[in-house]
Amino acid sequence: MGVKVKLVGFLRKYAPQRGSLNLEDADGRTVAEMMADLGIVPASVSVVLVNGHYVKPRSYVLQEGDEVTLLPPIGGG
Amino acid sequence: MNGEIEERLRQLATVAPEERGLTLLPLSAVRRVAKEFGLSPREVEIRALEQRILPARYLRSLGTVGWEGQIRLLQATVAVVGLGGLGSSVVEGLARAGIGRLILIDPDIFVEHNLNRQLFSTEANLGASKVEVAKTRVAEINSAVEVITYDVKATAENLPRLLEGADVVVDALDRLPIRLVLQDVAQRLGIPMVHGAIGGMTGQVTTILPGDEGLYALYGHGEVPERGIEAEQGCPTATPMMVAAWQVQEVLKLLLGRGEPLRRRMLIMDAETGTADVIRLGMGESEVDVGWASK
Repeated sequence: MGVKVKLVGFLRKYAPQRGSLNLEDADGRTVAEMMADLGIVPASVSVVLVNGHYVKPRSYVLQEGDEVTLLPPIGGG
Repeated sequence: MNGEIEERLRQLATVAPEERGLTLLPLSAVRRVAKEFGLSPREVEIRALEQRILPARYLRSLGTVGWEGQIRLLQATVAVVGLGGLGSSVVEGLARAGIGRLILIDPDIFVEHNLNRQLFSTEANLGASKVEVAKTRVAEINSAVEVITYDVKATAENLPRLLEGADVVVDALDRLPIRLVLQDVAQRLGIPMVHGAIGGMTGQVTTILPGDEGLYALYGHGEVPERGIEAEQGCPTATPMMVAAWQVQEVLKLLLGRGEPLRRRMLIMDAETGTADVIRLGMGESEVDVGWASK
């Protein structure tokens, strides 16, 4: 089952195929560690959702079946 | 008197065989009846629609909006908070759709760096109040729309008063923390909120109903930065228009009780990669459902 990671917007470049990745060995690692593994600069992504919900990347430990969405923070108008 | 108005409307309306035999009321007739009977153009349009006489300006909306839907829009009040790139295009759309009353909130005046994207800004009106310019523009587009302006910065303190009477509020602000404040107030008042934001070529839209987690599902309950990637990538020309159009459509859907709002879902469009994603946002069920805002 693994951990599913969806990359949105310009973060898609980290998963050029379809904008999502399936990681078999990410459970037990924090989101921040998983992002470092993928080479994603944390500063470019400060919004991390797990199963549709905000988490802190450094403290949230991934579990089997989690759906992670990484998106850029945007607030302009 | 009631019958007289209807009689007068019938006199001035014309049947349009080329438009499926619809009975149309031209703008000149709306104005004339308003003057003769001391009514507002909005009241005249509602009276006409009730008689299945269509103010001609809504002819191309009718197929989607319907007779009762157009009456509902004319009876609705929508607050737009922030009149920048998003807010100006949202106001333009809502005025054309025939929303009866708009509450516009923004403390700013037009400056040169607004010209790249803000629909109401022109070289001639630099220095003018955004809400005042918007009010003039709405009157030019649709005189049936009543506009209430607040030339003030939205705060937790003043928002409950400013949003009074609104059926829907549009979040078209440009800083993250105040967006959360707006959500708090909208939820307390039981008003659905349509959130839109942009940064560079990326834009997002979501509709947040009372009881939904909304922006808290996105940013948590801790400290929120003032700005996102727009601090670096700016607010270019096209992205606000893309997002504003979706926000207008979400407002209309809520008021009409039609379609599925982007609720507990967020649309993220990224023009740079040419992709649009709808992501899940927040958890939990709310008892309130589609069309709840319709009366």
